[in-house]
Amino acid sequence: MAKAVTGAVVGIFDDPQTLLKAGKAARERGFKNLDAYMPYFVHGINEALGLKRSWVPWATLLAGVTGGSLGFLFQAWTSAVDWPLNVGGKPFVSWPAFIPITFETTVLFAGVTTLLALFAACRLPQRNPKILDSRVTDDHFALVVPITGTGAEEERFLKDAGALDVKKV
Amino acid sequence: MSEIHITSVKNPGPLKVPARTNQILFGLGAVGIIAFLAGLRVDAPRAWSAWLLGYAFFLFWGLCGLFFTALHHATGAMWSTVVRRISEGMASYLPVAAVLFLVLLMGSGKLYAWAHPETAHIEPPLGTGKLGYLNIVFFSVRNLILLGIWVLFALILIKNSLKQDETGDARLSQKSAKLSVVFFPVFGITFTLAVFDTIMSLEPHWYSTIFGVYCFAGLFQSGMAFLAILAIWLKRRGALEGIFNANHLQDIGNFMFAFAVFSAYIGFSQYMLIWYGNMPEETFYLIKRKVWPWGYIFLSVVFLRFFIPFFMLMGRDGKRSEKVMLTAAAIIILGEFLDLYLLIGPVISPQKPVFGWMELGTFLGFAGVFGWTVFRFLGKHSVLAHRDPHLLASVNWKQ
Repeated sequence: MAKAVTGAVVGIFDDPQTLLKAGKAARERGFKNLDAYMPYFVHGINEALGLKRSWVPWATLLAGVTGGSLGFLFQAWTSAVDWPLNVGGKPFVSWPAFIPITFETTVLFAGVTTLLALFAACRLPQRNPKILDSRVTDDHFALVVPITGTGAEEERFLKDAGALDVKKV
Repeated sequence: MSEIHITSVKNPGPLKVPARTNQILFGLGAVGIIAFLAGLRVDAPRAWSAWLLGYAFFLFWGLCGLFFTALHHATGAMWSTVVRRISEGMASYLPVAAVLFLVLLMGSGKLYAWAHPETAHIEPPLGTGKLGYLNIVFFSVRNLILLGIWVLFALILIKNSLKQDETGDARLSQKSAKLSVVFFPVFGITFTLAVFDTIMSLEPHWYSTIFGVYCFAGLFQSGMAFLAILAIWLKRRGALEGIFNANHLQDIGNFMFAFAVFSAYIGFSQYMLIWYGNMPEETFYLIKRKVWPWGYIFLSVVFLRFFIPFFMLMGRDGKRSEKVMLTAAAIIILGEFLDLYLLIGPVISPQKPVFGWMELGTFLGFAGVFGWTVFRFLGKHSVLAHRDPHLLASVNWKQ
């Protein structure tokens, strides 16, 4: 039975390499649900913190398949079922003619859904986001370690790992 | 991150080509010559058709090497520095292709209906109007100029790159970049003209303005597949060990995936306009290739070049796995081969595909010559552009 998270300590670093090392050490130490805040993407951070792959691509795939199918069925329905229309003497549901629009609806659904899924995954938009430290939007890096007890152990760990600044939030 | 940031790369030196590999490639070349010469005695048009198939297929790979090298320079790409010497090796085949084209010229009378308009059914106005353009003299001169242009670009880009291996001069990269920017419009025009001449004019009544782009899509897709195979092979042999990794493989996979979509897009654009317009002077070309048993090949191409690689290479993990990439590359290469076979084969045998020792042997012969040229290049020069200013950025490339 995991202990309830009562808060978190944040370590501020000024070097991405130190952040990566600290993140890796924190995970090896057994700290769970680590997170990092950075002014730009630091390669290797996902592996260092053991972050899982995003679910957004699956939403894209699902929406693409849905959009493509609906686009195709809609064209077939309008041209052959609801109001059968003979175009150029071709048989009903001459599928090659539907492909361009099927392609477009696939892209439209997949694209718009990706954007919405991204917002959902990042819990955006937020009205009053809690700002950990304004320096992480400039030239510093933050490692967030959730705490289950007093947090003393985590604080000591971050200081030892080379954090310039450690605070409890 | 367990991987360390690499700060220096040792020159891996030229590839030690195993004697066995050279023997196999020589053997293939010999098989090709025997099959072709024997084929000429049995059925000359068929033998020439097989020659054209092998010629076009490996010319495309040579051009892909040149195109990829130029793409690397023109865009200032960093990741591709580690595989650029391989693509230069592919481009080093172009002078050989020019020689093999001279052989093809000898068979142009057997291969192209427009070469003997008095006996072939060249019907006015579509056919005869083209004879001012499609005749042996103009055809030969034109295509030799096109090949000359490609060879020139390839030799200059390769020369700059090899010189940089010695001097480490960054200005050579800038020179190559400038030249590469010029190359792209030139390539667009020259390649379209070349495939119009060598492949599309096999059926002199038929025309499709998108044909050059269609061939290019296959060229780049299958060329990237070959690049992936060769890079993995070099890595496994130790020549690119610690240099070429999953990040680079993923980028090559991105190209293969993108061009699976692109070639389907272009192929369908050509197909749908002809199908929709339903004009007999255009549809006969596709009908010939879509009716069974040629239709089996038509359908195979759609699956091998689009559906299968599309789903195999869609995800990130597939593109980073050597096993998946090797399989996808083999599938794409088979698809490209069948695609060219479908463009060339029905001309001499409209009823059903003919494929036997003549076609296979000649093709293997071309494979031997191409492989020998690429290995000779990699055996003479370092397999890595080891003094390129972008090398470290490329080696440390992550994604």
